[in-house]
Amino acid sequence: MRFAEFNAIMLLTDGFGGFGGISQFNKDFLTALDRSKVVTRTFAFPRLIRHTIREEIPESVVYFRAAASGKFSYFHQVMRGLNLSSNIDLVICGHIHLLPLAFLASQTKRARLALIVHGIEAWHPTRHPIANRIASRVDTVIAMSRLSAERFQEWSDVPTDRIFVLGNSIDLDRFTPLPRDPLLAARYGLEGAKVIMTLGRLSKSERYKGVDEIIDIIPSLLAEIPNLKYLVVGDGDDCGRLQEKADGLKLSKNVIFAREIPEAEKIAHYSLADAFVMPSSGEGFGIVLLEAAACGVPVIGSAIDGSREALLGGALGMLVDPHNPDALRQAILETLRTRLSKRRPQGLETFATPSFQAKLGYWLETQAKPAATLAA
Amino acid sequence: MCGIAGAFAYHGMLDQRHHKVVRNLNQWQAHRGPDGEGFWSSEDRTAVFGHRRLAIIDTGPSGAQPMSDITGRWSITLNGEIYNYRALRRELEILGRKFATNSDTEVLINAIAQWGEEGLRRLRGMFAFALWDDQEKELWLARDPYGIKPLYLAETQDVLWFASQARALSDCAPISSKRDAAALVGFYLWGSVPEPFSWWADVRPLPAGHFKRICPSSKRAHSRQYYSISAQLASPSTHAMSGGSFRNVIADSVQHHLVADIDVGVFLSAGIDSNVIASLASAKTRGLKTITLAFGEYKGTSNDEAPLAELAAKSIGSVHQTVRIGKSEFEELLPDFFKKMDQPTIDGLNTYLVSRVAAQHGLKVVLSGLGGDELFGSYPSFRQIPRLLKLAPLAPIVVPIGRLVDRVSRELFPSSLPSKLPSVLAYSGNILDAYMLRRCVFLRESLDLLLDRSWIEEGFVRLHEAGSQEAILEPLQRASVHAQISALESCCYMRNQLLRDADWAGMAHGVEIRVPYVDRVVIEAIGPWIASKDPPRKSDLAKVSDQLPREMHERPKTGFLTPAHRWVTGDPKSRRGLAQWTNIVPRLMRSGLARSATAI
Repeated sequence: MRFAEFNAIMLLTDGFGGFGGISQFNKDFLTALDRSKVVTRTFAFPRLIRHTIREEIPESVVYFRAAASGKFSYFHQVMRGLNLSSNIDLVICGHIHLLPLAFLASQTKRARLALIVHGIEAWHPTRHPIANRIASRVDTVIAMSRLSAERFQEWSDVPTDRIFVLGNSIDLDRFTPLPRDPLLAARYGLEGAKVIMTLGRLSKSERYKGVDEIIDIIPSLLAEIPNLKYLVVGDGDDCGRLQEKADGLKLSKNVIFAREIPEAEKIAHYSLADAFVMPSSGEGFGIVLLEAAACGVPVIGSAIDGSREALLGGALGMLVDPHNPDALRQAILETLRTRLSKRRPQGLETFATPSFQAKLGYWLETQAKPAATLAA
Repeated sequence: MCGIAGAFAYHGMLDQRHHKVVRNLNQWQAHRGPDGEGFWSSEDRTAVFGHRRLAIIDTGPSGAQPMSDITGRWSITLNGEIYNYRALRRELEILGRKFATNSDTEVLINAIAQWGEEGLRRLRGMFAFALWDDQEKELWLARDPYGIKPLYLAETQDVLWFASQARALSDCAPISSKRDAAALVGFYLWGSVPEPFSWWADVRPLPAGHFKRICPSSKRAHSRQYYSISAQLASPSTHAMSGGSFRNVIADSVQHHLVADIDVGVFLSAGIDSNVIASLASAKTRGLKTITLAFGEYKGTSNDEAPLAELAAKSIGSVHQTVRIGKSEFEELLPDFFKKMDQPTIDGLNTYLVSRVAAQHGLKVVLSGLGGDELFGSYPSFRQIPRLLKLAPLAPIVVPIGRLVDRVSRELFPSSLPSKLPSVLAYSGNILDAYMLRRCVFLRESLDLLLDRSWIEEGFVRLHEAGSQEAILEPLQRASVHAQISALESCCYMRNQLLRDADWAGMAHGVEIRVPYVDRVVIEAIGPWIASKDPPRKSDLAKVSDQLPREMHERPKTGFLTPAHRWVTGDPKSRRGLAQWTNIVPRLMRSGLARSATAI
């Protein structure tokens, strides 16, 4: 039983009131800090709050909403927080772009510094030379996957003993198999169709989700399965181009763009799919693959990025090379032709919330020990 | 004093699953009653009672609980003692009531059977009970006027659950473990969870001095108040009580609190409160045992209570024991301390430690001087609040200026000023603000660094809606500031912190702590004097005994000092007591005990 206070600061891009994989990870991470037996309090500074916060903030987390009002406010609020809080033992940097400020905070408070590496954002040196220089000085790199850790190590020279591969967390009580919702299916015209689905942000700068690769093979898939429809869920500045591409291939009736959906409708959307396909080439982990699998949807992921680790090397879903259209086509056909009732694959518990919390809790206990003990 | 638990079905009957929960509650509370376990179900299977017994009066099998009266109509599970049970029994026997045991429990049953709700007002003691009326198919739940004994309730769709400890319900009953925002905010403000809330949103205390009668048709009946402590301070007397009358009131209370079929001891400090009790008790008890807890670290310093307590013990001729505790022993005990803690509190450690010593010396019942400061105006609040309220007439000007000063100084000098100093003017507008300034661990303005805004906003809304402090002062609109402070200290600080801690921390070792100053008859007798222009002081109490050492009169009030926080943090500058523990107590409590029983 540890008696003294142990406080943490977390700088993050978005979390509560946010949307997407990184937002969800940050929420899970803050919740796990709250549940740990070590952390007294966490002061969290979000760079962005997209929507009104409806989630319950964990009781030992103070979420500085005022920080999410622009760069100047962010800097001001973090500095104010540092000034007001007496002792900080750990600074957690939720994104490599925030590393310079996190480093300043850790130096000011003489606290340990941990950097979270989600995926592709840290596979190569960033555009910020200061962040790149500081990267090797962090005390711990918390990586979503071994692949991301290795890619980060290649350019930052962080020693291996500072790497902690945490993985992602999935709430198996929330993501559960459901029957297809006929009203939702009607919204997208999916009645009677075989549906493949991808969910993710469609960003011009990050065209790695594999949506292009799927659209490219839709015509040949239609030759085999005429009632096939491809539902693309998610929004971003690349959405228009993808839509034009589908239209150009005369696939506007078969490729449907759902755009951004409310978080509350996510599970119902997964439940529309007969297969969840994301032949990505830059995914740090691919939590959406696990979410779909938890909803009982067969999953096809990438063999060449963090998805391989998320799918436990193929135990939780099929792995394909995204640059091999034939392999991708075969995998989709095989999956759609194998009629199975919705069933979760064995092994998902590896990433269940309690495992995630236990793993992080164990690491936090090592952080709370005096340096001498750690050295010993 | 014991541990009680039970369930009541609003619809249908209770089955084995419900019985299992009540048995789990019993098991959870086993430390409260190591002398026996009881379980009872009504014939129609609407109500189930559990009981863990600490045998003090009628210690044989006839005093076991749950207990039914001679007619079989009434059955009870009781936690507490009825000090005037002998007098009540004589009165009831004259009225034709028959008794099968020598216990106070049976007297309580008959008092309710004879006088109904009026019977509650005749009881002198500390109690929380559930009583089943098999004729009317009605459940009674009641708690003593001061709230010395706890009683927590939790409702699910068809069942009402109750237990002596909130944590037991949270662990065993099929309810959520959701946090109550009002409790969270209240804990950081006051250092304990303020009633009418508990740490868990689904668990509520039955308010002190309230009762509840429930039958299936009166589903979810509201609790009703049968006694108000603050109302006893509403009518000032025009003159002070005579020394003789006052002595008789205190001596009578001590005598009543000695009622037991086993030895009763006294917790003795270097203060007047406990020494007056010990002096009066020693006159009634041959070979009275007194116990003083001291800390090795304080030996030879002015903080050491042991030498003066030993001198006093010698003077009254008690069998005295001083036990010194050091850092290593303290560290060994802390995990159990947090495991037994019912709801987060920044106090209770001293009671936990001294109760352990009492148990080790074979005592199951001990008298404590708790409550003397509230009656005799010896907290700093009785001096400081009236001074602050001199600014109240200028509140429309002073308070806004004060808020500005507060805000600016907190921005400019965030950590260099004492936390309450910038807020003095802002909190001078009325007695509740002034009391908050005096008593709070953290002020409203400091909370945004401790809790998220969502918790703070919801918590304050719920605290405001509950209006519990306003309700305490409601009968005292025309009373003196001194009387209002006495009421707030008695019904907030003492009830939510001192009495609650005395319950779980004593029960952690199977020790019943009795509090002669926290007594309905005492407050009825001296309440008007407290409300008068010349209220009683500690010096008046000191005159009750002529055996107190002279040095005791001259000793300044210090409160009970512990070096605990310094031991924990290793910070030599650490200040007294456990106030700074507020930040770490919830986590330590959570680490100390996982959910231990299975719910339905």
